[in-house]
Amino acid sequence: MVTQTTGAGLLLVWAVAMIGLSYYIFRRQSVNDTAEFITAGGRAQLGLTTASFAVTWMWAGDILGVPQYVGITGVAGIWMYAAPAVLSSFVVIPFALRMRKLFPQGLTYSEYFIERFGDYAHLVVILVILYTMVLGGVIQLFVGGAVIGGLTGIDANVVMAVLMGVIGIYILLGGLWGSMTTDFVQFVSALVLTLIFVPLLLVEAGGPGQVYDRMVTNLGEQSASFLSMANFSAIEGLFLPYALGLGVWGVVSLATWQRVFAVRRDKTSRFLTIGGIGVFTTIAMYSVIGFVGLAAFTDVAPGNLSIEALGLMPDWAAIVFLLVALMVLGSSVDSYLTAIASLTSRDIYYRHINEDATDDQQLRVARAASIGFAVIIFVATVFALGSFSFVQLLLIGGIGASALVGPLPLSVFWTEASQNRFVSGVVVSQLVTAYLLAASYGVVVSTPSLKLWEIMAIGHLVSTGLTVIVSGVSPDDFRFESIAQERPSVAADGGTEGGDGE
Amino acid sequence: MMGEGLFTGMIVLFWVAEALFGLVVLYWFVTQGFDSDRDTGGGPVELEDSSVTLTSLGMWGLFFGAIVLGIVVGA
Repeated sequence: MVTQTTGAGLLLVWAVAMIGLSYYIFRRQSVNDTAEFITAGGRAQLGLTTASFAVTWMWAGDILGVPQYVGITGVAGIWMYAAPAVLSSFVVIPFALRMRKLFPQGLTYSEYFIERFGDYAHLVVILVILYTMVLGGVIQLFVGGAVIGGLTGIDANVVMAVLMGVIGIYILLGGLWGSMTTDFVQFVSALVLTLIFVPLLLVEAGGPGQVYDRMVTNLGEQSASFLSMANFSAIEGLFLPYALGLGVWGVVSLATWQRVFAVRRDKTSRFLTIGGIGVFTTIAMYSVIGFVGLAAFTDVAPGNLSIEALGLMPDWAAIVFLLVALMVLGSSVDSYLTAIASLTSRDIYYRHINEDATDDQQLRVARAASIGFAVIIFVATVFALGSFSFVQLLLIGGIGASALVGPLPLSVFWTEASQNRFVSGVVVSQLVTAYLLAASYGVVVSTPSLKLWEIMAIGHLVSTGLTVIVSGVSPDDFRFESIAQERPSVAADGGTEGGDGE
Repeated sequence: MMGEGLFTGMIVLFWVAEALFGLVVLYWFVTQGFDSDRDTGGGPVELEDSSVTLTSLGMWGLFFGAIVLGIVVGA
């Protein structure tokens, strides 16, 4: 347990470091126009973007979640958690390359839909992205309030207010440059956790051999299944819902796409590949915390395994661990806040409210949105803390993916996909999935009660199926080159203007 | 059920992979910096060559193959 004074000191150190770093990059990169704020000018280098992408995908919840999976299903929990977590990085590659070719003038990927389909499709995409990004922020802040508040004794609401206030300020200053630069420092911090503190914990527990022996003793008859990578008993409960929901969530996440648009065009698949595979190795290292917990305790619930195991570390290590947790947490929340600010400025304000807005006006809206949505995420998290469990929030966040993951490739590769079909696919899918999710939890309705992975699968089938079937009945004949030939109002992608054409 | 040697080897493998990942990203950052203005003069950057894409997809193939192999060997 860290004292309240120490906890407050850590928060202060973190706040000064992050705001100072963002101010430095604000001055260094001259973040004074929308393209710099939203896409880092489309010329960010591979190391910076890979680190930012990876640490955005390293959720603070992973430190609790991976040991929990290990506590439920043993070593198989490693791949059941980590493989779906990196699935988006692989799935998004063909769409990212296609989008950068078709739509080099874009600042957000959601703007593509107004060019491809029209206003209604664009508004539907905005709604889905907005709630998934806000929920992403809420989930992270929820963990931050619970874990940091729990470890320091500081009121969770105070912790969350400080976190959101600081993140709002440094995003206001540096936009995506601020997010990616602070992410880099946060990435190094996460490496310190996995490369130094996890082995330290293993040594504190007697080394891998002793941990193995104690696990076998504590688990008794269960040790055979818990120490088998081929233990598929929890695949329906743990692997499939993750793979079909949050596992492909990154494909529709504007935070992912901002980094796709930010990195140099010739490095697109490379950063997604190294970043994705790297996240797997980080998550895999967190499993060691679970092994130590299984070796040291016999009667701890899987959900508490991480906190109990980390309690074995010396006090000084607990303090440093808290700082690292702050870093990992900040990296994800700042990415979602940057995405929301960009969405508000470009997709809502510029595209639907004031099409004649100057670049300065768009930048002011983006900066105002970074503070406004920091407040909204904070209020939503305070509400969520008293109303939902962490798992419920994760599930609600995952259903956004089922609406767009299927229709997205159809919209970038298939000339016959049309606006009405796209909209019907996305909207009906969200309504059906929300209904089934409510029924499975007995909220208002109670039938049919399906497994979570079945709900996610139905969501994907409905959104993709409706778009395909209805478009097949009344096909569009879209010419993709008509988008690429447009002259960009703001050159934002590697300095090119107008793109490569088809 | 995996034995003690395989269990220890698995943890060592994860640690080495994580260290390599960190070193690669840090190396890129140290050698390339923040943005590409220095080596492109702020001019247009072409989309990646198909060979780069195929190399990336090959890395993914090896990665997923390694996971399957790990499940089989660690069964």
